[in-house]
Amino acid sequence: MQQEFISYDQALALKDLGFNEKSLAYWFNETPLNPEGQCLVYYRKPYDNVGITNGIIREYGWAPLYQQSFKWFREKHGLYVDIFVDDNKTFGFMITHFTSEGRVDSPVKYNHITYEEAEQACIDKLIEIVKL
Amino acid sequence: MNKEFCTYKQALALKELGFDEPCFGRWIEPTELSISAPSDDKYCQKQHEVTWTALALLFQQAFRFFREKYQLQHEIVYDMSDDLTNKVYVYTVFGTDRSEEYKTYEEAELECLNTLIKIVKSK
Repeated sequence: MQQEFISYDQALALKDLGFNEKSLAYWFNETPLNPEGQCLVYYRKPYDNVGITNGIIREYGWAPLYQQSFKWFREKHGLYVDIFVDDNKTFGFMITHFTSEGRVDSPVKYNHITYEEAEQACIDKLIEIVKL
Repeated sequence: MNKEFCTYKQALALKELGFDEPCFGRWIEPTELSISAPSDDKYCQKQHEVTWTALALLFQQAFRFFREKYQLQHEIVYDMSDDLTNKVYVYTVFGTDRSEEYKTYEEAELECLNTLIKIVKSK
């Protein structure tokens, strides 16, 4: 089920950017300096917020689902994502925002072998845009 | 977290179409969504055999199912309305026309999934 969640590094970046919504799991890392030590912990029930009571969430952050992450970028930053199949049957993504002058589509990236690869690269790009 | 999951009706339809993957819970009846850790998979899978229950799948799982099992790709985009007065959400299923216009992403997502279900059922 780990594939349903954005990566540990992406989750940390989203936390830095202010993401603070409930999820179905959280990232836990007993030794933050050791990237191999990280693991995803699922809640048995999302409303029993173990993490909130023991401070894990504050320390390590929620593990957002992909769909939650995209929603957060839409609602918080006005960044809209379209992941599409291109003519070569590979996957691409486009990030759209609106200015007073109209719709701006950028960037458009192509040639990801799988949908999941495009999705992951798209999250990285969204993080980069918001950090700027 | 309930909003992250497909509706009961959609979950039953997807079960009919062959969806049978690990999930974060199950629908017991239209109003009762039981969310659990995936370690409860075996229990959920067993419940899946009962006619009126269905695995509670995330929207992203449902769309992946259609991509991988039926090669049906969709797009949901935020765009100007046809009359250029508002910004709206529209969806397309690869090879079909642009959908009607929706005010929210969630409405478009829900209808897009219903369309995918209809397409596969009509085959």
